[in-house]
Amino acid sequence: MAPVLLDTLSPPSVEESLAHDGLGLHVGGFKALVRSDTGLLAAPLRQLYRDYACDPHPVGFYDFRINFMRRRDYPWSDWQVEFDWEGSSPFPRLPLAQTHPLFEWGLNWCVATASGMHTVIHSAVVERNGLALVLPGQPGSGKSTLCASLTLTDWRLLSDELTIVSQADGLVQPVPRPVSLKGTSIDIIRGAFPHADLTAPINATHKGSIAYARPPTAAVLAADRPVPIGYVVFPRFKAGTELVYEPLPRAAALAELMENTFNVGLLGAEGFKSLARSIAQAQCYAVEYGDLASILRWVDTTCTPQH
Amino acid sequence: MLHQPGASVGFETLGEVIGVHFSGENEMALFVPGSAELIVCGSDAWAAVRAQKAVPDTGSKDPCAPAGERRMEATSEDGLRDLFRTLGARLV
Repeated sequence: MAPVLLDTLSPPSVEESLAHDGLGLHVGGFKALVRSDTGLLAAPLRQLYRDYACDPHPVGFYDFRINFMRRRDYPWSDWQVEFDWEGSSPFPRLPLAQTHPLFEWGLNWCVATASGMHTVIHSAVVERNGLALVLPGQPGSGKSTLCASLTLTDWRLLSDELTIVSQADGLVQPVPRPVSLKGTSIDIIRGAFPHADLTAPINATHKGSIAYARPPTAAVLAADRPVPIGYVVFPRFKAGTELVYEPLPRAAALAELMENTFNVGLLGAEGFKSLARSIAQAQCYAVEYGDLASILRWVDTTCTPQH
Repeated sequence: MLHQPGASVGFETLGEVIGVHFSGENEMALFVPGSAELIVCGSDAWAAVRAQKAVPDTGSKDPCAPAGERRMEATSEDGLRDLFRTLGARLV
């Protein structure tokens, strides 16, 4: 049976697939077989992954077979949700209401782990004019808010969490997924982009309140188009400050990138050289900013090819 | 400092240490495979160390070093040689 768009499946049929043999979800170059008996995953998947190809019934090979099942230790205990990947659970059990965030975190884990032959950087990455803009940053840097904003304008989403750089050709491999928004960024995006398709916030996660923005359809459909790195920008949000920026030598940018690389210890000589080559043509900056509008203007002006 | 279109990258090695140099820049990024360690230094310091004899292997590598400790900077030839000793890098 050929894959179909998730949007073409009815809510009961998605729930049926998840609860029994699994729903096959095609995400970037990966195929995940997802099962869940919580009853809380079908709705967010239909909202956020509606443009993705899926298999209502398992067929063929899957890169990940992942389960999100409800568990409780005692009959009187509250139900929790447990993530299982091939018999292992790298995450602790969470309250049942956090089934969907756990799905997104679990899929991040799977994609990062399965991409070991590439360089995996903890950063958001978007594309415009055929060049990728890589946005590494620690929690609180504002990279997810910035990424969501850029993708809701004229930048293509490649990933909001993992920049996967091929060691063979240095190109960024897109794995577009819903963009996670935390805390105050939820209202910021709602206010700036009232037509954005956001899930209702889920509160009290270990990251605070969290909501997800559906990736633009065009980004999902272009997931098979890798691009070279044109810009590396290290954002740092500091409320109330004027925007200041500093061009970075690529040697320094490379060192900062490697601090954000998940599999740096496994890179080896060839991986290091490949990452260095991938930014040889890039413009690199560190930017400190105090409001979303100023950083968007700066990106629009600075991250544009010179003619 | 905006790089020029068509900028290139070159690699130099000293034993197991790999140095990368981007055209138009004075800094080098040095990588010690297996240690996940990175050093940023001036091209002059690197060139001076390369011109010297080997630094003995005196330390051990820890590939599990936290990310925040991976990047180190050396501002002089002596500083660079000290870092290599710390990392146990074999330069021959």
